[in-house]
Amino acid sequence: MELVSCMDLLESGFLFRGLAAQIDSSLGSLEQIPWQPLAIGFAAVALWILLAELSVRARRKQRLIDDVPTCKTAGVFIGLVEVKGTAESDDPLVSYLAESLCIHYSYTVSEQWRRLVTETYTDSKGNTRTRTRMKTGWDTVDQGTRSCPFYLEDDTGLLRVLPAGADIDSAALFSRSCGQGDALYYDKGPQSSVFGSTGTRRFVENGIPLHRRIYVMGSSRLQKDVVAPEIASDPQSPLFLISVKSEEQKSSSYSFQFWGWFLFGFVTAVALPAWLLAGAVPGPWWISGVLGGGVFFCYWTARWVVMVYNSLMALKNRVEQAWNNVDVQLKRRHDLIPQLVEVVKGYQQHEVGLQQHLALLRNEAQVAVGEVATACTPSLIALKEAHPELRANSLFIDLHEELIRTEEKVALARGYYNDIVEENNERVERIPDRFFGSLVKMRRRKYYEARSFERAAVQVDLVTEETSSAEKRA
Amino acid sequence: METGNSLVVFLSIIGSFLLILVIALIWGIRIYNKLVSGRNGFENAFGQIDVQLTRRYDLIPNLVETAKGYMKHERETLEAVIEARNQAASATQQVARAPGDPQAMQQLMGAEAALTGTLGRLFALAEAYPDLKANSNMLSLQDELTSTEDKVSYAREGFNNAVTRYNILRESFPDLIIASMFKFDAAELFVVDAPEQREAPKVSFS
Repeated sequence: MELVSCMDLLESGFLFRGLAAQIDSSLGSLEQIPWQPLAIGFAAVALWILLAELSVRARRKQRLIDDVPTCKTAGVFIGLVEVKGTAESDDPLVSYLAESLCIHYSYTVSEQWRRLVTETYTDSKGNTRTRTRMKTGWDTVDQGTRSCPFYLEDDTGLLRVLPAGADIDSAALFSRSCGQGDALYYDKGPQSSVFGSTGTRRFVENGIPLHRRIYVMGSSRLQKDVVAPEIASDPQSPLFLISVKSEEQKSSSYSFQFWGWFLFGFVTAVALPAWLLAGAVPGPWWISGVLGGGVFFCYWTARWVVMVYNSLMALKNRVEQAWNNVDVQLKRRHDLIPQLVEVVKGYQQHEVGLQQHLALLRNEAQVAVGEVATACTPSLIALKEAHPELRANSLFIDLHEELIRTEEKVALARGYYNDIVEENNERVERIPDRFFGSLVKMRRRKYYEARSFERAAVQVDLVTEETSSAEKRA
Repeated sequence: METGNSLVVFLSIIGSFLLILVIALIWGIRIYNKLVSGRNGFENAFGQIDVQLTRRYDLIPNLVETAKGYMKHERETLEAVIEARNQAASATQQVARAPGDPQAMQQLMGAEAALTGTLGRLFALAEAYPDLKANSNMLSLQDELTSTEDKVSYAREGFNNAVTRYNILRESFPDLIIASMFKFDAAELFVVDAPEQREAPKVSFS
């Protein structure tokens, strides 16, 4: 028994020593691994993944902008919405440089310098040397960004937007270069100067001026203090964008980014391996270039396929959401309108009794004035003057307005549904989206349609039974 | 040298395999957690509808009762004024018939005092609500009914939004792998349960 275990130990000792020897030799061979090319290779792969990602992301944003229809402010629902209108505010900001009214601005003051710099470089023979040369450049000496909550106004109303956390595209508000003689130089810039300053400063300001037409896309939520939606930053929202550009400009700029990043990635994927590995690998020099380009293209295509799939699937879900949001409005109408009608009816009934009593009092007051004046007669006359007229009127106005608002909400929800169905049906047929149709279970959808009796012109008939019978009697 | 190289290759294969496994695991856990919070998100949003429905259930009957109570108060006050006025009038007539009767005179004084009192109540009513005013009560009831239904419908839209977010998450690639592995089922959007509720209500005052 003991012998066996001794043998075991010995054996394992040998084994261990063998392993150690192997690791030793492998450590020696570690030095043979070409670390530098490997590191370059990894960096290049990381760069290509990043470029493919940037390219595909730009396309994803573009598709989102294209797929989500524009919503009127009165029809904004809780969720991802796209609205267009003018930027309004009761309490706008005054921009720092242009001193114009705006809802967002960011400014930069930069100062030019010219100085001798000492730099180290590697010459053609591989020696490290130093040299001094004159160099000019710009340093940012002051900058700032401010934005304030604002209202987006369109033809149906206002919508509050809290711009914190949004991607903001601004318009140029101010841009000027000037020397120290200019009043602007020290008024809006710091008193100190950078080392080697040439005495030239550049003042640039961008922002969103008040009343400017803007495009906003983001997630809406219910306001805390008012029963109305607002657009605000939401970490789960796929996009939060405030732009002075139009939807079409924004869409084509994302498209440009998509192709730009792709081309940049593809060209580097072809050129870099061809150039770096020219002598290192056997075979013609272009083999590694084609290989690099091919791998990049395959990866990018895979990412693109996933993106298109996800985007179509999200569109499908948004169509469902739009359809069910119509139901929300219908349910609201079903619950609300009868209640309001009952309120008006109840008050009407009350007022009939009230008016009869008041008429009685008024008559008696007049009789009292004519006959025997009592101590209370002046009070009754005062009451006669102060007493209410028919007030059911204001309730009817309220009901009237709420009926209009309710039907408008329903109509806007249905209109939104039809808009998103249009996007959906376009994707169902478009190339390349149609090839994904069966994968995503995407299908053509029917637009909301009025029933035939709803299409007929509405007959307005204001003659009630009572008035018509009164006419007959006459 | 040969064995050393093969060991390095072997170790690095094992190492990268482990690394990929760990990355995949962390990634999977992240997606799983996102799905969980998405599911909780729409469950909470559903709860928010209930919060608003309960608010409606608790608030509206009370507001209606308040309005009713006020209407009753207004009517009763006026009735009391008329009653007092009638008594004062009949007392005046009695005094006119027999000006020397101290009892009739006293009755008139009492009736006048009662009328002044009820009128005072009527004016207090009118002052507390500057427009005499079951009307303004009713107006605010209408406003509250509207904003209550607005709140309910926004809560329902919020629910639809949370469901849509969750459904998009669970159906998108690569999240759908984790979602189908751990049975994250599709969530249902808000639907009007009775189809006749989709029809426009008929407003009728006849």
